[in-house]
Amino acid sequence: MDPMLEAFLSESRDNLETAGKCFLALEDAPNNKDIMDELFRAVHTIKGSSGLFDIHAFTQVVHVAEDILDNAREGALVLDSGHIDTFLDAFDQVNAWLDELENQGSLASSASETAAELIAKLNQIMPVELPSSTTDANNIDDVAIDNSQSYYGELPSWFSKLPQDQRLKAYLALDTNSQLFSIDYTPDAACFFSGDDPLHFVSNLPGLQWFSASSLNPWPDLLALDPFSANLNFQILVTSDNDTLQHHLRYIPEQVEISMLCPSSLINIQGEMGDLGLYEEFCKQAELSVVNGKPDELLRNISTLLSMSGDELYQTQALHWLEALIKHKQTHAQDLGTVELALIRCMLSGELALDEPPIKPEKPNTKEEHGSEDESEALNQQIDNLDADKVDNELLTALLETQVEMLSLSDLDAQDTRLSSVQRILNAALPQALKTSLVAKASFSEKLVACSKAETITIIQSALEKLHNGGIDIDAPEVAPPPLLPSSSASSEEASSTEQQVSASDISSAKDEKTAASKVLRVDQHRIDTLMDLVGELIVAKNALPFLAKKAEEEFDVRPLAKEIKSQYAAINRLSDELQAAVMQIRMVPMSTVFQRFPRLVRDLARKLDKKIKLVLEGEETEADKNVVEELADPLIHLIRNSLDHGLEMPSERVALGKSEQGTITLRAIPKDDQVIIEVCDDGKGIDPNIIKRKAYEKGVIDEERLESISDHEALQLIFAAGFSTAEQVSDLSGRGVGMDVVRTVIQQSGGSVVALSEVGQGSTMRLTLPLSMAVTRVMMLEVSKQLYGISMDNIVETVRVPISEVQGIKRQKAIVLRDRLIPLFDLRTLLEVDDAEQSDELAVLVMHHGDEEIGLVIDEFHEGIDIIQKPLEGVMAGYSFYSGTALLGDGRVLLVLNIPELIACQ
Amino acid sequence: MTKVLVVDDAVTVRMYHREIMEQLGYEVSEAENGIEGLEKSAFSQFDLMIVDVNMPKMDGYRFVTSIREDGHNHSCPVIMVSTEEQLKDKLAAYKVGANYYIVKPAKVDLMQKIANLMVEE
Amino acid sequence: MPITYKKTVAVLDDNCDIEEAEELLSWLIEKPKAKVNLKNLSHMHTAILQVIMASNTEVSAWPQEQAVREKMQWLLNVDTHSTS
Repeated sequence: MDPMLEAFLSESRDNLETAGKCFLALEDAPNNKDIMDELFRAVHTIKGSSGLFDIHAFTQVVHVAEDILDNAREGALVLDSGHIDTFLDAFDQVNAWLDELENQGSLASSASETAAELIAKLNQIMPVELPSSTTDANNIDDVAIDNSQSYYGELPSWFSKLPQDQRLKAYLALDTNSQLFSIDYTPDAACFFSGDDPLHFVSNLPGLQWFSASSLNPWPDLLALDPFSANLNFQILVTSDNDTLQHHLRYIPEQVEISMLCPSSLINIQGEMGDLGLYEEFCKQAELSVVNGKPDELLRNISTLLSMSGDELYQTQALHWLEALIKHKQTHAQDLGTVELALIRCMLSGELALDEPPIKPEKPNTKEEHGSEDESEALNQQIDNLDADKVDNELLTALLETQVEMLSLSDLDAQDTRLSSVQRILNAALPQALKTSLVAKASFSEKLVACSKAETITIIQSALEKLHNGGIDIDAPEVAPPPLLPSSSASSEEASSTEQQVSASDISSAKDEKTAASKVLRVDQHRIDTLMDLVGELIVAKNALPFLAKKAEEEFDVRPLAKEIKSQYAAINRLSDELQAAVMQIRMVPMSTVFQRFPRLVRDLARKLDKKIKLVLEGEETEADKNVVEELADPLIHLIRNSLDHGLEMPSERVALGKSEQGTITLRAIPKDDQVIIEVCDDGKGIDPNIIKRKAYEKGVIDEERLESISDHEALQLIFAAGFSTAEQVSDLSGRGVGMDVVRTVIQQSGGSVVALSEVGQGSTMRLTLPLSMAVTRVMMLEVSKQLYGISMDNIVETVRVPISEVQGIKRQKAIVLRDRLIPLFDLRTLLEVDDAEQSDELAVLVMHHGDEEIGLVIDEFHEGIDIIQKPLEGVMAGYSFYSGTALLGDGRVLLVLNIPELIACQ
Repeated sequence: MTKVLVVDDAVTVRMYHREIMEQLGYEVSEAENGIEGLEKSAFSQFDLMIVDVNMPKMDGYRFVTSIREDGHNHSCPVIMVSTEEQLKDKLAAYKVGANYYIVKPAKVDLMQKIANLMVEE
Repeated sequence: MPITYKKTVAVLDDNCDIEEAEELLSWLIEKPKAKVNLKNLSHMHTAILQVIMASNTEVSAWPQEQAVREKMQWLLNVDTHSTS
């Protein structure tokens, strides 16, 4: 399937689901603003995207729904349950259409009928006017007109009948918000019977400038005249904005023909040319007055000249126009521009350079559909013959006019950046249009940059004028008067080459971005979670096979079958492992998603604390399960804040200590087997274990005996102890602030561990070790007092059997020496408070990581390792933090998974 | 290489605009809303931005206003696209400093030509 | 009565509605040289306009009200009511 359609289907289904939920929520909270907004946006997005496909029925329905919701959102309507039913029905159909699109690639032919029915029902909630783009088949044309308002229509045949004074009046009525439209209105012959009065309607059109009427068919003999059958065609000229006009004409779209006209086509100058000699000096002066913005001077000269000119002369009419325009612009504080220049020049040339507005190009595709074959072929030929420049020029005209409009609309304070964006576009666009006739392409851009807003507009207007005339040499002096352009000396080639270097340096990063984005498939996280759950169940189910094999062998004594089951198990085991790995891979996200937040945090905090700090990120690309990465965010914020706040010294202090003024915090991710290690390091003052010891003792976290025996490293870990830092703010400590116990709790809940390392004066490191994924855990099963327990495999170093004679008693703590390491022993029976076992001469010891050291756990018996989906404890058991969870075994038994660090801490 | 930022909350539309721009050989970055757009804009210099109007978190108007305020993309040519085809919507776009306005769905041809004109070679 | 029929002049006052069209037409058929007086006209229905245009009836007095006069002159004064 087309990937875009696929994306549309998935996105729209999501949005429909959102819409459905919102509707239900609205029933309880009618017109709740947030829900309405969410609902509107969902529907809006569906509508917007649907426009990219050829599914008008679909778009229409969603569009009507969107409009009604927009009204409801604005408070114009309160949706009740009946309305919501209607919406839900409509969206059910939309959903069905999505299925149709998916299965057949298009909508069924009945879709437009269905759509009409749904729209009729929706309209009962609130009548919505469908814009023409969605109701009639010619929408492509309408949109095209709207996109390029500068494509003026051809002048209607009656245009020449326009009286001179109406032309001027219409011209002066135009402003930035209105355009000139001609309307040909042919009322229905039967319209009187439905109560229409076309004359009344026309008389009340907004911005009406002029109208007239003629008979549609020649008037018959009066005896045969039916006064009640309309036989008129109105010719109308209005100045209005497009949407007001469309609004007024909304009921009679099929009876009117509207076209937007070039304002300058109103200027109509006729008459005999007078003696040029009389006007040459005036024209020279007048051009300068326009360019220098001196309307008063120009008006004086005009009135002098008018008193000497005969009324019938061409020049006199031009002068009248000129006078009226200047006066009008003066009262509206507008700058004189190209029109005035053109009027002045025509007095010598006898030709108004604005006389021929560009004709709106026909859309080739609509023409092919609607026009006759001959016509479309002729058009195609025309397009073939068309100069590529010419095509660009029409669009260029639209683009340039937009720039003028944009500049004239903008507020003053934002002017500079807008102007430079316009100049950037001119730099890009004009040389393309100029191509051959460009005088000095290089110096053009440099001159441009120095131009003010008014100058830039004049340049654009000159370019526009040239485009209209087919010429493109905008550097010609009579078009863009030289005083407007500051003279240039330096070469601009240099400038453009530096620019290229700048953009080249950004390329590599953007490339990464691109490849990353193009690979992304948007999938609802719930689907992945479901998949993950299924994989988990598969793994548990798979675990039943070894039990079955054992049963076959021991109970039924069918050894070959047991063997067979075992080999099948191996195959299923391998597949389920791969499946699990594949699903986990989907959930993997890079650490950068959480690391990215910190540059800003560090920058802000450093400023607040007046410290100079550099944040170094390492291993951002390391991936871990989405949940793990998300869980990590809060603890990391905490750790980094502590480093900033308490770890790193003030710049002056650092200098005094011989350190660099700027402190460094390093945030590092290192992948290690199926775990990831995250370190937060700083080069600050470090943590003094002696102070920690004393504080811990004072707070009763440790007793006197422990105070004496505790190692520096162990002491450092006390900062994570529950009672250590909550009692009072400990910012006076050479180390950590509050809440480190929270960090430890969160990390442990994620199945990880945290260790503090520090050297006084050199800095400290917080090292978090986390599983790459939290979904499936591998545990080792073990037996204590006939009860089966699980311990996460992540922390297990090895299993050993030690003769009881090798156990040493150091103080009250038992220990063994294993390969020259002293390993303290903990008896799981004691920890779990179950009965002591009968003495044997050999101990089963599980050596495991505990924080940063190793400990030995004395148990009764080892069993095999197993993959489990750990479920959190529920009910009364939830309070026991030394159980990290439970899991279902293949034979149906429940396995309790122990949280050893918690267990030892509870001791 | 010419770099284009496409800001739109609809995946489908982003895909469409990406396709149109990539056909021109431009390099495309995407953002889901104005905030994300500003983030992207903080790290790269763009030659053109194609910006939707109606988006969650930060809409197109506010995004373009911020772009024009400061930063190294302040003079970047901006095309705003929206399903709204009324003049007032168009004017609102120009008012915040957009250089062109196109009604959705944008014609491939129009979009490519206008982009070509607006972007310096 | 919005339309008063004098000897050779029909005087159209105020708002002349569609109901008047038929009567005016009959009257103009009988008196082909008659004129219309629009002095106090504020609006005429399109049907009436059609009758005046089709009969090519001369206007003896233009509306007093500027806006109405302007429109009537656009419609009836210039040479636009020939077949286009």
